[in-house]
Amino acid sequence: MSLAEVLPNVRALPAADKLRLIRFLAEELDLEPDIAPLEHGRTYHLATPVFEAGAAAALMQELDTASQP
Amino acid sequence: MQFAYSPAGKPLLPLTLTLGGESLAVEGLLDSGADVNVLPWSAGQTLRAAWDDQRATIRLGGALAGTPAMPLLIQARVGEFAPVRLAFAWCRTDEVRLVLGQTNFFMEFDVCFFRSRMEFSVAPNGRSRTM
Repeated sequence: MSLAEVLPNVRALPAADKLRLIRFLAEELDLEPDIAPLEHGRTYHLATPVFEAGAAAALMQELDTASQP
Repeated sequence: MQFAYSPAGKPLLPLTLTLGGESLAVEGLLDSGADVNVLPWSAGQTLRAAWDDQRATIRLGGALAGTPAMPLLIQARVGEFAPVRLAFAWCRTDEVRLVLGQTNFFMEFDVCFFRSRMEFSVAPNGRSRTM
């Protein structure tokens, strides 16, 4: 059965049942290792450094200054 | 121009940086979530860039809060493309990796990610600030 076939029936559900369905699907997905491959307790490194506000503007100003004849 | 993801699954782009008479072959992480290009301290030193406290007006945040960085313009060549001028936040730490971010790598190049094929493509956008 495809999503397109299921969707009309889902839309016809009362709001409370829609919420139950959301929770049910969320719990199902939690158990799918391919969907949620993150390991509990492991530290994941984020490569993107964080800068205080204005970093991009400072670089653009440097470029603009260098581009001036 | 097509490139393969690294064995660790990262879109690392090989490029050559040139400053003055010094050149350095590096790999930059293509990071569309990064506001700026980031240059680690040792890479700038290898290029013999001159640190200037007066111009180090950029500050890192997060775990590296307070670490200064200064704007540094460097000529960069990707493959056979014409060299472009990239502006880096040259950080006074090696706790960062070389990152290619929105200002201004993504302003100079169009990038497409094909994660399912473990490939990405890079092309000049035609509005480059050529050197």
